[in-house]
Amino acid sequence: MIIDAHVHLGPMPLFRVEGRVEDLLRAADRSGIEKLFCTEATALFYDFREGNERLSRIMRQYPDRILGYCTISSARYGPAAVEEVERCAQDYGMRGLKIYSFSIPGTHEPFLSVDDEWMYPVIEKAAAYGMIILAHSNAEEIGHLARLFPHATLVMAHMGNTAHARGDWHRAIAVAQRYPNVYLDTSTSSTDFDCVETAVAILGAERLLFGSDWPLFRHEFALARVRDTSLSPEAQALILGGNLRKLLGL
Amino acid sequence: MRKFDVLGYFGTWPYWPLRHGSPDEILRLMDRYEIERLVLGSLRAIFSDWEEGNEEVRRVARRHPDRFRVAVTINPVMGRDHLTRLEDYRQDELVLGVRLYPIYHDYELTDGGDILEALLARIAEARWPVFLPLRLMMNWGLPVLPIAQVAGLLARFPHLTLILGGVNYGELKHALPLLRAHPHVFLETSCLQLRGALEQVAADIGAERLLFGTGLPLQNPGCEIAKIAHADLSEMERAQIFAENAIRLFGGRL
Repeated sequence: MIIDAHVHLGPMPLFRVEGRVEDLLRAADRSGIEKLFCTEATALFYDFREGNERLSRIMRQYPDRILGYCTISSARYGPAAVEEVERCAQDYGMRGLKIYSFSIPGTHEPFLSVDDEWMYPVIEKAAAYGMIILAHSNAEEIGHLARLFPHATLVMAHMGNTAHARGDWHRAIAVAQRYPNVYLDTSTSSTDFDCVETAVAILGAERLLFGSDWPLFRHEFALARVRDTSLSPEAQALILGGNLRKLLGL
Repeated sequence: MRKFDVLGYFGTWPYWPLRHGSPDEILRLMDRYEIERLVLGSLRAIFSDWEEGNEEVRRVARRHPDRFRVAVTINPVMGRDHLTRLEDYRQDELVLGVRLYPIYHDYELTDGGDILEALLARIAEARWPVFLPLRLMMNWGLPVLPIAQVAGLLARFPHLTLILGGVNYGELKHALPLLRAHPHVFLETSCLQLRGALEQVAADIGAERLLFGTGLPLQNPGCEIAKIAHADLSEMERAQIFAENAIRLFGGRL
């Protein structure tokens, strides 16, 4: 079973795209992807309560296909952000939390960090519910969170291949090597030949999760990052779904 | 479907070891992905000595003339006798054009000095292609040449045959007007990853202006091929991008 651990639904004007669920399912079917772990872009970029509620409706519509991340775009909302995690877990049945270190739009200058101390109660709450925490972050941030929350399952989105993380996948691998509760997701626009193979050589295939970042990138493009490697079929199967299935108890 | 890859590298990658960087490894990958020919440029020429780097990569190409072609790198700021060197390179039938790396050679295309101007005038007159990768590979830590510099270059040399590479979605909206205005500007595909971007260029500018590039051995050709193979393009457009446009551009030299 292939599970895509990094998918977006909803409008993303920063990237001039919108993820519609019907298009997503058609694209996933073409690539043999069974389940899609999604965030909602309205929640990510505008209003987390509204966006999470939208995603919950889509989850109810496609319960066998769509898994949900509760998105908290800014923990500066304080207790409301923590309550939202609770609502997403209890009422919506979401299995993950998405948090994001934002840059100031149009720049690569940091603005909000997943490692802001206001985020800690949010992470604590998500960990208490056993949610997988997908963090768009750099190695320093994820390392600090991993140390603070050793019982939380943290996924470093894009395994360092972002502007925020300066494209430094070596540091991403190093931080995952240091902290066993850190996983890496493969989604990115980078097609760096050595990244995935090096990560598996150092960490083992058990610590990587396949992600596409759809609708930004095609599933076929993202799958090639795992399949067009020298990795064994067993290692590929773990990355493409086996690891996440185990983490989620599917 | 035939594939001619206009963006490859040879040499040491200074930032981390390459798993597939030797000529034999590159050839093995070309076989695996059915890439008939690859245009190699020298990493040594970017990061160290451009003349020595060009000689090195030309030696590799001479050992495999059926598989490799060369894009020589010229640094207009260092070295001597640039125009003589250029003519030497033009006599080599394995050399297809010139690559420029202003960021790594510390100059600007808008004000590169007399040697750059003389080189570009000669290259434009000879209708030789200039390869201009905005970035070396799609890695967020590496610098990107501001596309405004490309506009400045084309304002001075509007008929230059230019292969613009390393363009990702941030740069595409600025690249499209240049492509519209300059029919001799081509777009190389190796960093153009956003879903729908290839289709947008094909619809707006025409698929005949896209050239397949992988960035081998820095980038995974499997990904670079998959995004074209599965794009919403006609089979004719795909064939143009993978091979036919390059054959038309480089003619018998390819």
